[in-house]
Amino acid sequence: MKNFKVAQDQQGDVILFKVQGYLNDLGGEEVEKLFKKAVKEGHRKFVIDFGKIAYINSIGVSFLVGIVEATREKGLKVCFTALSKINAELFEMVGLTKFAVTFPSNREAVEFLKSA
Amino acid sequence: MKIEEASFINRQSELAFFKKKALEIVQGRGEDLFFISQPGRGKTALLRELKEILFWEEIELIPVYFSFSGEYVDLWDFTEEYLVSMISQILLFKQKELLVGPNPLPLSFSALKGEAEKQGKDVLEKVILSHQEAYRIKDERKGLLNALEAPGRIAQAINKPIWMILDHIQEIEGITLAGKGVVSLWRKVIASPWAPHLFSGEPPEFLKKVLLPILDSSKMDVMELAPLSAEEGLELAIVLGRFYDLEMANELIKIWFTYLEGNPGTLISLLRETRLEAGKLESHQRFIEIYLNSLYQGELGRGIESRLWRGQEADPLKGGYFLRFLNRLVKSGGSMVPLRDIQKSIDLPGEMVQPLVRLLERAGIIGEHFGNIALENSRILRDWVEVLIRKYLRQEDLEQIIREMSLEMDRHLSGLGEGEQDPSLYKENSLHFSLVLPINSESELVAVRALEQIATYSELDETSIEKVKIALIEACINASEHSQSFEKKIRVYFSVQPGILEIIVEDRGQAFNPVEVQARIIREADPLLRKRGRGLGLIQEMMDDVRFEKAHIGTRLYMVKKKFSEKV
Repeated sequence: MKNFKVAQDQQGDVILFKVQGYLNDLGGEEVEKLFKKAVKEGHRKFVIDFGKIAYINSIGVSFLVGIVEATREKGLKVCFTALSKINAELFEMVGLTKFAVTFPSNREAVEFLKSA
Repeated sequence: MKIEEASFINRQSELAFFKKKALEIVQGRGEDLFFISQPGRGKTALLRELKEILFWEEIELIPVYFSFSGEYVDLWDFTEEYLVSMISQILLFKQKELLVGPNPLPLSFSALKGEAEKQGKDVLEKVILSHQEAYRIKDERKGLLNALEAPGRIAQAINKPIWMILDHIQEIEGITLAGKGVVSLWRKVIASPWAPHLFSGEPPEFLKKVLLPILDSSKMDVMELAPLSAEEGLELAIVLGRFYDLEMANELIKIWFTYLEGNPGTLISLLRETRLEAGKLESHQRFIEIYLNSLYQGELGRGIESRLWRGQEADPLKGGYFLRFLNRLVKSGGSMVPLRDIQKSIDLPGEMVQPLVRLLERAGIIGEHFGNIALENSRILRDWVEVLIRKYLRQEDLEQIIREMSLEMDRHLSGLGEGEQDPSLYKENSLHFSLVLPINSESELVAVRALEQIATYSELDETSIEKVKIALIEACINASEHSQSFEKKIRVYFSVQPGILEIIVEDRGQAFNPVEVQARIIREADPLLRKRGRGLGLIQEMMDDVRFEKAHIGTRLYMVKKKFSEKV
């Protein structure tokens, strides 16, 4: 059973990951893999779009923590977009929003990163 | 009938599981396994039963049982014991049709060679000759490796797999080669489909932390033996009661057995003590007296203490630090205490910290997580610690201890009796739903989708329901990951009434209570330093009331969400 999808897009120098479905360990691994590949290719700005995410579990959160941690270490930028109320609360609770700026839409996040 | 036979009750699902594993070995798909539990839960009785069943069954698999609990003079002594025991069992298996009954005695080492020659087993001779050669040149490592590799070599040569059932694996720690542990040598022989291992031992936390990583357990299933149910405890008590000629209040035994955490070993000890105490066990007060007496100066206390100073000449109880260390933990009321705080408060010298922590962990008395210490979540252990502190630190006598502890224990025992008749979840005027989920990847989504529908009866707002979903997902994952349930299922019970949604997630595996630990981690540590371990903290944050309850078998996580939550 596969309840998770991730699509990768690029707007200018910003890499956009659109995640969909249930973000658990398997989904987290998939996002992390794409993120690492993009970093290796030299990309430095990222947006993760949660608009179509149905559920996130704690292990999925751990992978996001790993990504945010990597962006801090390497001086990269990451933004989260389209968070539901509960996911925004969840991210705040685990400290993710301290280090990743959140925006309602991808357009605003991309604008922010362009000027960053 | 011997006591060991009488004390083996039920365990049908575990035996069925192991028989399935045996068939997989025969089919060439055998894997190494870990089998762990708290002390006294009946692993040895189960493994001996398993060995007997496999020995006499029409199955092309040779079961070999070996316990590390023997005392060995040196590594050669151990190596020879290991070889003699293994080869004896292999040879006897080949002759089983000629044997009149189970439990044949092992052959002597010299007799083995003759027997091997008689049976024309070249490979057995080679194993024995290799051992003798290693001994001649005084190469202990070569000798041990020869013994460890022997099952795989023999199985392949005789074209019949061997299942190495290795019991009391925690005792491996005491076996050394040039002053170093030998556990890592087993890594060279695991993952052989010809001779897989079933490693069994205790206590779970110590094994998971110290021994399992050395054995590369990430590639193995770790199964945890559940406590017996209250009904099974009663069955066991009735059998043993007849055996020991005891007068018992059968209607109370289920309550006492629940108090004893479903631990058959503890019940057996207690019934043996009862036999010495006029043979009557008829009331809560009598149970309390015999139980506390046993912890104070009897079999139960000695059993726990023997785990502490196995093979050591010095008695750790005589050290004042030991008792003050435990006393400090008791005062914390069971919650985690930073090790540094304890060290400071009892003025414990730095060089004594790690040996003391290791000693207590190895005995299964405390758990250490990220530099924090807590007493293990075991009522018997906590009672033992309290008795110990009263006995040695406060110099109280047994009568005074019984007097002081009786009230609280009696209240608890009465509560257990009532609890059985009035489960917390099922109240009048509420709707009930239940699910049985297989432990599969993403089966928690089935629970959460059921919840979406069930929650419509609750009058909870959308945000509250979303929070319950997060908690439920985590609870299901937690039960799946930590229970080590043999039946590979979890149960979810919902009870809903206007404004209140109650959920129980139950597994039939090993009891655990990490809520407090996890919540502390999530609040105090840098979130970016932690990769895992958020699940229970999230549950606590998302729900209004969360508590772990010890089920008759396994653990039950009870959680509630209310319409008018007190949480901000």
